[in-house]
Amino acid sequence: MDSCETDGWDAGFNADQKFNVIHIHPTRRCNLACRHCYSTSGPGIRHELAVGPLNPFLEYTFENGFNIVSISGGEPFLYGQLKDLLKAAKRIGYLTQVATNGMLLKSAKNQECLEYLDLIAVSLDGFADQHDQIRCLNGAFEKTVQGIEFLKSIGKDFGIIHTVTNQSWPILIRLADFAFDKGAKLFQLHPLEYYGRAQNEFSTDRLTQESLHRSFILARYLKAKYYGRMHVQFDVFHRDYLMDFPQAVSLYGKDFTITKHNFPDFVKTIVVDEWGSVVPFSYGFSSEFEICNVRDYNRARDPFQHFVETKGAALYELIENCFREIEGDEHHDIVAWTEFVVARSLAASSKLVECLN
Amino acid sequence: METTSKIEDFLMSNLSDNRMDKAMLKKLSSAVDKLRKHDVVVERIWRYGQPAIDGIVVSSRVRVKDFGRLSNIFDIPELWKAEVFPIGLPYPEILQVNMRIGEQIEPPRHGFL
Repeated sequence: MDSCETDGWDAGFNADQKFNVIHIHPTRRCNLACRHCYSTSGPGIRHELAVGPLNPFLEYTFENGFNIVSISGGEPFLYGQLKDLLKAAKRIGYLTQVATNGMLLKSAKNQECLEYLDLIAVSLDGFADQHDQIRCLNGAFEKTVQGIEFLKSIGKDFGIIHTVTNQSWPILIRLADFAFDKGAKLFQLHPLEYYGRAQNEFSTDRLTQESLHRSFILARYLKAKYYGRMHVQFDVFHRDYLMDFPQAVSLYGKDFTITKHNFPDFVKTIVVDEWGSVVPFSYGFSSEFEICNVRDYNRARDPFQHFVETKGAALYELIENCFREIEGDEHHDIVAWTEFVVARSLAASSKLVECLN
Repeated sequence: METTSKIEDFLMSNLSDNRMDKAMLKKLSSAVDKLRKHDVVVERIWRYGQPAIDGIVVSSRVRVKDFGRLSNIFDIPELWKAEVFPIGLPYPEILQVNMRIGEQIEPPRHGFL
């Protein structure tokens, strides 16, 4: 986001193109159990989403304006059907990317998957001590760096994703330098979100506005420093920016009505979890706003049409309420929008349940 | 000409200064955001005032032909001074613009020098 620019970065993604993303979390199985993991992924989780029912849904969403498949998890390279999913997505016409810890890239099986990927986003939580401490594994940093170097050696486009914490803002300049030196095309900063394992692990160390201000200023500096060479993105909005450009969060005024035609302008991102549930905007968004389940997908029913008819108005009202809340809160200038809107969606759902009871 | 490393050390020392409180950071990030809106690339940031921080200076460069984009910069809260230095005499193509945001510590000179 970072005030929602898309000022082009050369990884097969055209700056002038409009992006609509399907984030797929096909499994929460992971080789790590990171302290900040919003999906509480970890070893030992067996369930995964089958590709079979996903394919026709991906065809439907592509026909309806979505053009990027982004696979996360869990660790995507532990998903048994990753290659099948990527092949299907490429056949349909999607740009493809994964968010990975980068530790499993060198296996022969996973190298076959790389062929079908346009971008690999590797998460890095700092330098050795900081990264290993958050990943709960000594040597994790070294293995991730080996993965990054492997990607560089085969000429694959990759980016670095960093979760910003109160401890990490002082290293952002050095981390960006590191990413650039390694050949990254993207340096993405994401604020720590208080979901999943992070709720317990960071309960006494929530990301402060001071840290967010500092990170925002540094991100702006880094954006200027690497302009045209490495795309720098910070997934937050400045409150002033939102007040000037409410359309950045899909707010288009009181007369706006969601239709199937403008659905991709309003919901720029949809998320599929390991159970096949499809929700708007972000992982963890309230199931009250579920668009459909890919396992029950029926082209004749037209999920987007059904969604806008039954839940579109309520979703728009939720976005309007979020915006008004931000507008009236002068103490929070840097807004982690996805975390904010997920929290409000869950609160809205619990109120709805109370009413029904 | 300062090296990038020195500029970054300077930026980090300013951001790490424990006198740089939330209110000052708020002004600073707001200014940075407003300048981005005007397509101004922020080059340097430093504080002024001793011992208390009275404000910050944001330094940026714009091309002469893009100078018009700065026409609304006084919308930025508490911006009270902007100094413009041409770079590349005798035919400057770039302008360095230093903007002071915060408390006025000298008589204001609104407008461009």
